Amino acid sequence: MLGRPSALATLALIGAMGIAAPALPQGASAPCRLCKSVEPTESKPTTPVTLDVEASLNFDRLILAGAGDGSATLSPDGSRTVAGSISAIGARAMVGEVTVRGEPGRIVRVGLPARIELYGLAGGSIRLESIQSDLPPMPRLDSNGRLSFRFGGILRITGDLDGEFRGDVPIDVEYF
Amino acid sequence: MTKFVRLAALAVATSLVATPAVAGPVGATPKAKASAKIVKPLTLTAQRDLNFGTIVNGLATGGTRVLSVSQAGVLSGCDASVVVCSGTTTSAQYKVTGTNNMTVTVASLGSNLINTTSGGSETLAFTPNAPATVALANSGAVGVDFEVGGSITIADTTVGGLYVGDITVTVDY
Repeated sequence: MLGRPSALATLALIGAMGIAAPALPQGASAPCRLCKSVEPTESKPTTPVTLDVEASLNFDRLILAGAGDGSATLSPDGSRTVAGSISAIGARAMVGEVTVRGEPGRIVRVGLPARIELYGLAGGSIRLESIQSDLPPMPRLDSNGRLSFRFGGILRITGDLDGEFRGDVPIDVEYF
Repeated sequence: MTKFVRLAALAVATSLVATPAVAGPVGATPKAKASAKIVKPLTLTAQRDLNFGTIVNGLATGGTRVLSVSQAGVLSGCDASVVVCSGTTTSAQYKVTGTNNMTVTVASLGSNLINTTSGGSETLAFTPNAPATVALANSGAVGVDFEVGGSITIADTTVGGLYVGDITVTVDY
């Protein structure tokens, strides 16, 4: 009978130390640098981060001058180049644009696929690769909690395919 | 013991509140799209000339008459006594080739027909009549034909002769 309260008290003490210790303020002695280094510099965000597509990536019309391999590049800054069997890219080609919304000042990680397939309405597929954005290395939401970026890529064409091709670009975002 | 249980409950509640902040990546809904329309270059070939045939001009002083060849090649504006037309009339025909299921825009510009009989000093203004668009029903060399008609206006002062000119037609996707 005497042992049980003692064991419970010990358990309570261990539990209290294990759970509550990190939240307790440090003593008046010299600061614990090890503890300080693992303290979060920012509190956890309370606003969920969201992603909205403002404009899809559109290569408009690509003129296929002949059989063989070709490519069309649409860079995030809007510049465009063609090579190989692709002789021209339409004037209405436009880069994709996405807006991230969340807690102001937060650093986010944006995930873009390395490549995707675009499938023809009449069959066949072409590849969009080297998908790049104009995001900085450490993208951060502005004071309004917004971050807009543009993305482009290189469209690779092989053979004598023509027609309309479409595909999804899965982009995701999370707080860093 | 009672205090410990309350502390544990508080810890669980805290972790539940904090869960959204450590949630996984969020994707866009709807997803971003990428699209491209790959087309073969257009070719345009003239296959048949437009011909008004032979026109006998019997207009009275100050008279004018509009003569038109439809896209189907039918001549209008003639009659049996004043402006008498004969001979075969045809509309011009072009073949356009490109990519299947694409719509091609046709543009045409007016031009002058020049009297080649009298030395080219006289002209007749020619106004083309072309379809605004052509739907390509195939891809590559087979192509699709379309016709272009047009009209001229003659007057009692129009000098006789053979009038010849070019029709300017362009196509674009």
